[in-house]
Amino acid sequence: MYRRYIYLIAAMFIGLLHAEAQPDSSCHAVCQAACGSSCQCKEVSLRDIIISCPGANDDPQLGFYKQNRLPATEEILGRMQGVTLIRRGDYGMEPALRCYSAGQINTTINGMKIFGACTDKMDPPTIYIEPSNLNSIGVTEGAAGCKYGSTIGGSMNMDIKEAQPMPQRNFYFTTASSYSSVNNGYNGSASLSSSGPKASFRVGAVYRKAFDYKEGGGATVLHSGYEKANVAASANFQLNPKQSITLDYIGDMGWNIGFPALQMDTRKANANIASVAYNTQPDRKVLKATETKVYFNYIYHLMDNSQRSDAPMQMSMPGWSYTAGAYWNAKLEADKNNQIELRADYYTNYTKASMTMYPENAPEMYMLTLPDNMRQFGGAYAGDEWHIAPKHILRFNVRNEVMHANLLSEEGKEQWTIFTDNTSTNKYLPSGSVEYSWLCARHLSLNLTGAYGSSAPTGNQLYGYYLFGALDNYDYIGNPALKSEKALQSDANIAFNDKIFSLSLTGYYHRIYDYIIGTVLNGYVPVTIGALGVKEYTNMPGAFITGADATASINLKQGIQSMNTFNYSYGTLSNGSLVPLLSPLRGINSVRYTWKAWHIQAETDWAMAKDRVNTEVGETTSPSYCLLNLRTGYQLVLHKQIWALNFSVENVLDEKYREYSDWGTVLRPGRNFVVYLSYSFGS
Amino acid sequence: MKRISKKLDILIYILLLFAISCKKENSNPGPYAIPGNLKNISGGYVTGAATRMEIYSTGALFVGYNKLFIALYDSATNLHITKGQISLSVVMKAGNISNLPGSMQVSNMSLSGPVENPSSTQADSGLFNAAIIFVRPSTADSAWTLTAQVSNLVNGRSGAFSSSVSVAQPSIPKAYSVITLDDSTSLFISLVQPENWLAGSNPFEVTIHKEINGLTYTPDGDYTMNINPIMPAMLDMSSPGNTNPVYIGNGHYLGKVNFTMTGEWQINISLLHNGALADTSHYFNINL
Repeated sequence: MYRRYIYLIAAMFIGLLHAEAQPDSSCHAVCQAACGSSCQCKEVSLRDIIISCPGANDDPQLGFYKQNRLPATEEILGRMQGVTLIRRGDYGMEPALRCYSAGQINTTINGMKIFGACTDKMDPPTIYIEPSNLNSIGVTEGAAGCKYGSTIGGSMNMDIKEAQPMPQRNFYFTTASSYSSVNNGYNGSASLSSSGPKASFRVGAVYRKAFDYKEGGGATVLHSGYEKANVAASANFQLNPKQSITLDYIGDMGWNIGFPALQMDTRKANANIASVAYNTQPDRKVLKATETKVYFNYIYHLMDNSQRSDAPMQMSMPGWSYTAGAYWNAKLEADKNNQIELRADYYTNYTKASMTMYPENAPEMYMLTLPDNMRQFGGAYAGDEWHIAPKHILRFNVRNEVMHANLLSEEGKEQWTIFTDNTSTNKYLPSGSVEYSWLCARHLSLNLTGAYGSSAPTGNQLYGYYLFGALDNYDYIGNPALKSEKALQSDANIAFNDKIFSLSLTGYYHRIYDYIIGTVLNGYVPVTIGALGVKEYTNMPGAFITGADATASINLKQGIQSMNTFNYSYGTLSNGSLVPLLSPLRGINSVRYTWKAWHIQAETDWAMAKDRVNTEVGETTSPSYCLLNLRTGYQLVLHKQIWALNFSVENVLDEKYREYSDWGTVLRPGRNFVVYLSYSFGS
Repeated sequence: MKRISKKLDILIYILLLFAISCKKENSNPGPYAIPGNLKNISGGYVTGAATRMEIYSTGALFVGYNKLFIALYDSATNLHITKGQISLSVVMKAGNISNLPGSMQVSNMSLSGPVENPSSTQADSGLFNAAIIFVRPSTADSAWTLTAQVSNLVNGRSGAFSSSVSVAQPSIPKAYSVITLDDSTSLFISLVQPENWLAGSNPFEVTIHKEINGLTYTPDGDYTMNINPIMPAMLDMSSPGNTNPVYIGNGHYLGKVNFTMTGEWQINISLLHNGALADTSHYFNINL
């Protein structure tokens, strides 16, 4: 009797979600709806949104730099327009978009929310995706990136390679190894995929180990080595030509990951990321594709200072993060001129972190540095790309989201009674944007964007409890009464595109309200020995940022390619101080020559000095630098086998340098010889 | 027919439920249950009052402020007596009272301690609340004797109960004696609450009793108290948001102390008397 009701309710639920779903044929459903009837994918936005099928062309920048066989996803990200890496160690760099970071941006994996368990941000989600598993990265700057969550900074979605169905059964195997001289580092990876019309599978594994690297000049940077392993598995089952189920799993383990700019290192880190997706591609007039996904991820992170002989006291700080969520995504085509995307999602994130200190001749000391807390988000998104005329496009993005956050354990609540008894908070987080694109000449387009966004405070900002910030040497206390950050944003872009040359220039001006920043609490004593004091997260009335990004690429038939990016930003807070993470004028210029199976590339990575910094948040000036990187590679194709050998010299001039976003005064790696060998076999 | 029968069944269940929920409570109170966290430390017949007395505390008696919970029973019927008047006293008599706290004076080789008699003649849940502050531990040749003068207000009879009790020195002291700097007054300061410390915010209540002589103590509300909790293992790191205790009557001072983490804390206490420094050399050690 009860079973019948359960079946009925389940059927109603599924029916509501997929009322228009009908079986038909294959290919990547979401992508196809976005790109039209074929699976030939392309950028749907002229400058920022990437939607790509596996194997299809990525964003030009991503495609260009992926060929460099860079050892980590974060190194690829660091070369993308608008992306900055906040560096605390040689591995585990935190991505930022323009001047936005942490809770101001959405970082997702295949649309899944994931939050690190380390209160010192040693474990950003980008470390869980290895380049060999990375399919594409979608970066949207500003509030227009609200598809995955309300935001003021933008979104960064990493699509991983999944098992893909094929009309006939085939296998593909690839393995690769690389060695880096600067850190005596070894990377090894292998993946195997088997695709067929009904069931497809893909598994991959990566192992990497590196020792302390040498900075420019040859001095060893202590506590900068790392070791980790990563496995990824994907299975796809075609229920019928129009419906499929995809299961994905990523497991990531890290050991002894050093962070020379911090007082601790990662002793152990584990991540388990799993999802089940149900895709349909109904042959309906309006509804083109749906994706329903349920996901869960669990992160455990343990940091300690057991390897730091200068530590005043031994301590360990474990952290946990559980995120569970679900979303439903649909692509609709109201008519030939309107491509609509709908999304409804919910997720809940539980985090907890603690610290145990082991003084000599005294009992252990223990505190919850991030008391058990839960943040729940529910939101709905709608986007429309409206071709109002042959040369005029309007894009709308609207998202409404709510958040509820609260402390869970009595222990955590009791600890927080020192500051307040009222630790629950609710937030309404609307975001939206309007973008107008005008193809004003044959190869020339103009884009104007106006946006409003809001971002919820992070768990650290709400409930952090004497979290040490190594950048400014202050302990930070959260603030459950924080308001969400809001921003009004305007972007203008002009782009020239033809087969040989493309140029994109973007200028932006963002006004931010209730900007979250630490404020000194006078009379409070820090828990961290040697810290300067205690800060509490507070809302600053306002801030503004402005800046410009530029990308230029050349693609000559003679096998010459060039990719060039530039960016600069400026902004102040309402108290007159500079906004943190402002970029000086910096750029990357690459030129590659390809001849038959050979290619050779020269690259400069440079930045002007950053003399104006916000010392209140601990920023320090950084001198100008200019790096020269040289790369070459050869690819041999033998029947169904591909051998590839790449060799590069990074920082050829052994420059002593650090970037403006690096914590502390730790210098980056010096001259580095990298050799990379890969072998692929397919049937 | 079946449907009507089912409805009747439901009606009966609802009525039964209603009847159970509306059951009159305590129509016959009977003996009150003693809370499980209380430990019996002494008891016996109150001579002359036709009353039996049982004395409970939350643990073994120690040097410092001890909360007592006293139950009275009719010695014939064993029924709880909820109306009575109790007056307590403690005295230590011995041939060798040495190592006295501070410089307390011994009167006729006897020693006493402050007491807080039940403030009401009506028992609270069958128990009369009282407190005794022991100023030193029992030893092999010096024992404490607890005496209670009891008036049974139900039968109108009075009597006394006397018993020897054992008092231990806690491993972490919960009381100390002070000779003030300004006028050499002898004080005895005892920690009242909390009994269980937590990382977070804790009420902080202490008593100050002035010793007139070894047998007489009076509550003293003339002092100002400043507290500063520190962690010695953390280079004397202090905690934020503490509230200095203020006098609330009967020798009690109430404030708030915050601990940011577990571990060993030291609550330093500064005593001021009429604006003059009376003592800064004492503290309570807390291990949580």
